[in-house]
Amino acid sequence: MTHALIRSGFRWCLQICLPLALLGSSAVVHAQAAPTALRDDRGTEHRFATPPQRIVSLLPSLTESVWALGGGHRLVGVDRYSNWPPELAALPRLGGLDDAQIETIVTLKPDVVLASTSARSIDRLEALGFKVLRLKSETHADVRRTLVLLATLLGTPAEGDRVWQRIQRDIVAAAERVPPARRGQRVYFEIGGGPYAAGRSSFIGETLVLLGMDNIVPADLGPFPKLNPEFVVRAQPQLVMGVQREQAAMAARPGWQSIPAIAQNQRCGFETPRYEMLIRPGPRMGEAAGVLAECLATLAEAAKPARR
Amino acid sequence: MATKELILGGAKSGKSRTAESRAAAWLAADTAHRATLLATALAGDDEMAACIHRHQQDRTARVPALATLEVPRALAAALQAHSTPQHLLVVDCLTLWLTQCLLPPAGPGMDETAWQHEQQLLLGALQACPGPVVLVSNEIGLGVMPMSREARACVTALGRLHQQVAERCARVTLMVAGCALAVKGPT
Repeated sequence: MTHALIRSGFRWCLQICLPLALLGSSAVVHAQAAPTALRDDRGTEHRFATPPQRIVSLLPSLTESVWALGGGHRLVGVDRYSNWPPELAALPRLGGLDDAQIETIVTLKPDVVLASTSARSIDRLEALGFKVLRLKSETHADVRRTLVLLATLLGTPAEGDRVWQRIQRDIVAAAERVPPARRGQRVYFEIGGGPYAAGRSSFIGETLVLLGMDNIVPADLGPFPKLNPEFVVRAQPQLVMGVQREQAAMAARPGWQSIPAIAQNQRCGFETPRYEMLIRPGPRMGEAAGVLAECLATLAEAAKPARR
Repeated sequence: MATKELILGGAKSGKSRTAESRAAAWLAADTAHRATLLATALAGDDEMAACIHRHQQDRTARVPALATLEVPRALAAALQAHSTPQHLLVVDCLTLWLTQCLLPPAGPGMDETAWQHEQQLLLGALQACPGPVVLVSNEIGLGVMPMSREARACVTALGRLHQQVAERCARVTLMVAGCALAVKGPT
């Protein structure tokens, strides 16, 4: 009885506070035994009588998410690009999103297949009657939603928010390590060998903003736009970030020597394993923010910082 | 300038938006400035979860550089850990923090002694913050006294907390229908 009263008091206070601007855990509360209904990012509803025990993931960020949520032992196969954590190295490799090995996936008898929204070859799996969850991962909000959805799928709904909170804490801690003189500098973050970039509206762009950095690619160009190389030259970024193996070629591109970041060697070239962590919208996003902050903190300042 | 401000108001009066605009102004003033929101809400049900989600999206759109940490209980420790002269903290909101201390969703709430201790920790941490802090809270003490004993206790405790926080803030603002009324300090 007392408890009921306390609950009613709590509810009363919640009602008062409902319209506040708050950010809280968005843990989905579901009874474990009850069937779970999940809507993927294409709007398709999937019903699971029990949490799936055999999971195929066709995207590294989703593989990493399942692992971080404690479902690693339920993965029965992953795509060829999933290379973290090393504990999953022995799992069958099932090709990529556009050349997924349908026959092999069928023999694995997965309860669910995790893929991106843009995976065309996956239609075949759905035609064969498999449940395919298609998930979008372009922004921080996407990552959070995906973590909560996957945690719910695994039958451990609270884990999603726990992993997300750790990412948030790591990003805030990373921001503390960015030298004040670096903040506000305009960054060009190149994807692969270019000319694609991580824009302001991508998850990488959102992390850069939280680290206090400016981005030469505005949000209205979309998360990962293909850029005209001249756009980068005109934008005159003060810092260039990207994969280490492209750095030499980048400086040799016509006109790029006039870019302050290149002329003054203000560049963060990341070795492939770290670069892969940076471009994956998954549970290591907080750690990735730490990698960015580390480069910003250790990169020697340009002789004459070209600040606006 | 380590200004502390308390922003009070009713539901949907513009408190959080005002707090966000303080963060945006702080970030725009100097590239070395940072801002983090300490969010105290817990999603107890679907409606609350939806409300929280809406606010997250609004905030990302309005002040993308405002980081968010969820701090349902350990508010004093979070203020201590993150406040620096270059780092503005927004606490949104004291109402829910108090609710979670006194009437938590699971388990027993704090007794009077524990609550007094918790309150003193918060007030001490607030006073010791080397950087600016903006605290948001609901002014729930204006109507008739609520029917239930728990609700009355909540109104009383929050009113007392507001008085003590306001005493330590150079600026107190009351939001009504999206308009700011300067209760204390500069407008």
